[in-house]
Amino acid sequence: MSMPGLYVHIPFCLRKCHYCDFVSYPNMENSIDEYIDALLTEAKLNDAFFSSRRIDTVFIGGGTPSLLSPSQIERLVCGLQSLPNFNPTEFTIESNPETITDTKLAAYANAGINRLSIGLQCHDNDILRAIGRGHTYQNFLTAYKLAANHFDNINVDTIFGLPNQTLESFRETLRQLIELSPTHISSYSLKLEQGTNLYSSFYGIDDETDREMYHTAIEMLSDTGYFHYETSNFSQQGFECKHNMKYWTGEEYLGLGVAAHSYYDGNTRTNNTDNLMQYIQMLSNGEKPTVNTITLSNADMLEDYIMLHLRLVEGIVFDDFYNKFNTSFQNEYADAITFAKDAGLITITDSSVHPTIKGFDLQNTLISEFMKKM
Amino acid sequence: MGSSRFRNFCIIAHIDHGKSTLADRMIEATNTVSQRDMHEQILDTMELEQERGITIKSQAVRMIYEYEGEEYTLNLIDTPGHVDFTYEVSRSMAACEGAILVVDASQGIEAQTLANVYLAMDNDLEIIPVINKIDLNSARPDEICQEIEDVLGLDTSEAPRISAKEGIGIEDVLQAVIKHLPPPKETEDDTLKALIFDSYYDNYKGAISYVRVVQGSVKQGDMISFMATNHQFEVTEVGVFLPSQLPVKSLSAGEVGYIAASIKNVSDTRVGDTITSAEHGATEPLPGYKDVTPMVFCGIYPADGADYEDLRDALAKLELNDASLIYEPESSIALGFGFRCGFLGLLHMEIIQERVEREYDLDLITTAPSVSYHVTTVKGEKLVVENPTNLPPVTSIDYMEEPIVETTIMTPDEYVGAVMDLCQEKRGTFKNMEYIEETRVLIHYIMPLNEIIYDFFDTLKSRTRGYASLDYDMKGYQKSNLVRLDILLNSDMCDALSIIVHEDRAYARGRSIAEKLKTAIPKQMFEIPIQAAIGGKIIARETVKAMRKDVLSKCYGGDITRKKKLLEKQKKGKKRMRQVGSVAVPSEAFMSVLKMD
Repeated sequence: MSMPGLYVHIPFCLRKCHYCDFVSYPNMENSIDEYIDALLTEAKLNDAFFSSRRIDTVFIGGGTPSLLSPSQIERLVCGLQSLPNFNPTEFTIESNPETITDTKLAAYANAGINRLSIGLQCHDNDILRAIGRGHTYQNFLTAYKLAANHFDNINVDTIFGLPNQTLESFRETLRQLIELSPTHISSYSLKLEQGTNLYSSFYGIDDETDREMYHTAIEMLSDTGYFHYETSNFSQQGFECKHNMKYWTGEEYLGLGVAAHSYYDGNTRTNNTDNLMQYIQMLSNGEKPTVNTITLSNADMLEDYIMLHLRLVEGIVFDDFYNKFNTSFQNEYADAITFAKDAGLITITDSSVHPTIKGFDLQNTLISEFMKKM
Repeated sequence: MGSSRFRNFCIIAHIDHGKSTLADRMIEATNTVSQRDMHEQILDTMELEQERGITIKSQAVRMIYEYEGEEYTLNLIDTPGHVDFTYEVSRSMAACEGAILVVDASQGIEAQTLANVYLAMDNDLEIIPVINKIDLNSARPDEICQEIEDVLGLDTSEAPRISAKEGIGIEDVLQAVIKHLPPPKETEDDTLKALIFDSYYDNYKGAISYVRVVQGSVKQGDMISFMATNHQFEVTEVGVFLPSQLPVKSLSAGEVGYIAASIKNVSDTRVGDTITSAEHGATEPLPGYKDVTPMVFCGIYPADGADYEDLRDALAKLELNDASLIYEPESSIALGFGFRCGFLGLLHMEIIQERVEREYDLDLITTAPSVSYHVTTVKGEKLVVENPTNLPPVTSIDYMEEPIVETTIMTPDEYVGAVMDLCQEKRGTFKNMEYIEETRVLIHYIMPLNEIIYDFFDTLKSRTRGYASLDYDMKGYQKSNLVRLDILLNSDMCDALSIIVHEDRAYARGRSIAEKLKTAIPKQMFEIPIQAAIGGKIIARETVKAMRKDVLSKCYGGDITRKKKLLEKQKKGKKRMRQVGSVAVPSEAFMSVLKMD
């Protein structure tokens, strides 16, 4: 039986962070209850999906899921638990230090949530303010300590390349985090997205510094017991995010909520409307909120496979590729492999190719090399 | 109606002095076009002409005007004004007896006006000066009249002072045409001679000749001969311009109109050629015919190599309508397959490029414009080189010659220093300078054409705040120390970037090209040295630093479509890049070297 992931999107925030271009709405807390109804209706409409599968991981992301009250969370999770074959081994909720309370944390744990992800971004309060975060580093520490009473598995998100962030400041963020010793740390390179506040006010740091920060993260975290397993993700042994791994390794997942994406049946990708009101409306009419359904060709699946696996430190494992596509990766991509090897982008072993650090730095170039045939 | 009541004339004016507006007003005043069909710049039918306010192709219109109880037929031939089209303009003038010289009442005479007035005088045209834009506050008609008298020696005592925009004085102009311009000369000989002043390709009627019948007459069914090619055709239709085509029974001496004869190829209807009867035709053509000689050349390539066939079709279609466009296939190591095209001048080149891009929806890469060089090898062979790539090795060249032109620059006197500096920088030889007004100067320089086609005009304009105007005239060839400047990207030569320059200018050009390429070529996985070289000698070097970061954004909530789109966009961008050795070069990079500093 397939063991897919379930993603649930909570598109509500107290305020929009200056770098964020995800689908989230500030000042719409009044709609949360309606929205939960809609989510549960959407889940029911996918009954066929659930009855033939066993949900293995759940990820409640956002937005700011920790904006939901304890009772709202209980109602949502209860609803999910009534789905057929619902018995996840990993159940994550994202949170913002600003909205974490002990009561909420207890409610999460009670409801069966066993992994907490906290958005810290950096330890410097001036920078936090500059990027529109509503919390200080001290708020985070308080929230983290409360969380540690309820959860054994905690992720902390960080961002590098922020305005006025120096290499030394970023190192300090990492040092502080390492001391707290969460099971998982994500470290993203800031990407300035069009339409965000930062896009118009900040030019971005230079590539050299950005890469120094990235290399520093890899070095410091590897030295302190964190495995670099994906471009931006590090974990203690056995604590990789199983849910996210499903995206990267081509396993099935179902997304519920505004702008949520799904992948199933080997060749189908769908996504929901990104308009909150339309989403609620459609579900109150009993309609599925899917607005796009793409049927992947074999070539698409090859491209996706390569694109996603080259984000992983493990890279592309020849046997796995052969099992999926019934053809030899080494033969199919001999030229690209030679090119990438000569350019220092990958390392080749007997069983796999995997990106070097330079390969992570120049990931687009690396992937494009393997997409050229298409 | 005898030809004594015909008046054939053209309008001479500098750009923006109001030529098209005056033509519009005359067409309105004579009720030639119904109000419903009337629109601005009615004679400029091409989108590009309308947009830029310029005339590219000649156009004619027949107007009927009643004066003192008699009906007159006025044929206005609207001609291009630009120096690139001097030959076309001269043939249009040869089809007329007179010209209206429109001068802006605040701007006065410009270099281009002057050139065209001299051309009109060469063609023995009677000239009526018209002072336009008298409604403007800055108008100074008395001073401008004085200037016209001083500089051109034309009597301005009866010059109509008008505002074409406001419709003031239009009747005066029409009456002056009748009173002051001579009717066509009566001819004894009635053997057909018709002068072609332009041609146009119609999908149904074939190539159509725009003609002035000088002697004899022509009608449907006649067999006619084109004297330059000696090709013969049967006339299917003759007509006049309203300005749309109106078929008529026949065209006789003194008349302006068109002749259609199911001609497949526009190169049979050459501007300046004479049409006569196939049997018992004239033995001597009308004077003044010249073969088209392109002055400026460049390579035109599709930005996407897969569009080569489409580019070929586009050029073939444009050629149907433009006998002065010349092209032949060429290939470049950097750019693949494309065409070497010859043009009358820079404006002509720009127009063709723009029309291909616009009307045929193709993205182009064009190489730096070149002129035609004469090369004499040590063995005594004479070569004509229009593409820098074809220049033989230095060791086998005895000497080279380049085309030179006489430039006439008109400028307010405060910019004389700036203009002379510029001409000097561009290897000009000062000839003379004359004041045409207290504060306006005419400067003559002998200059190499290859300096003019680069960025001369733009620089001239920017250094004189747009006040200077320019005209030039071919003066033949002169020996010169020329070298080929090559560009190497990561040690591989990029043939499409080679140019021929004067030895003294090579260093500066080399450095400027290298600098521009540095900003136009994106960072790649390795460091890219950009070198400018003459022969084996490197004269300038820049470096594109290696790319350090090229990473996808976060993969969120399983949304992989966004990243895929980004990658596909990158991939598409890559497709539009050209591979020069190990270096991917975007189309823009080839163009960036053409831009002025």
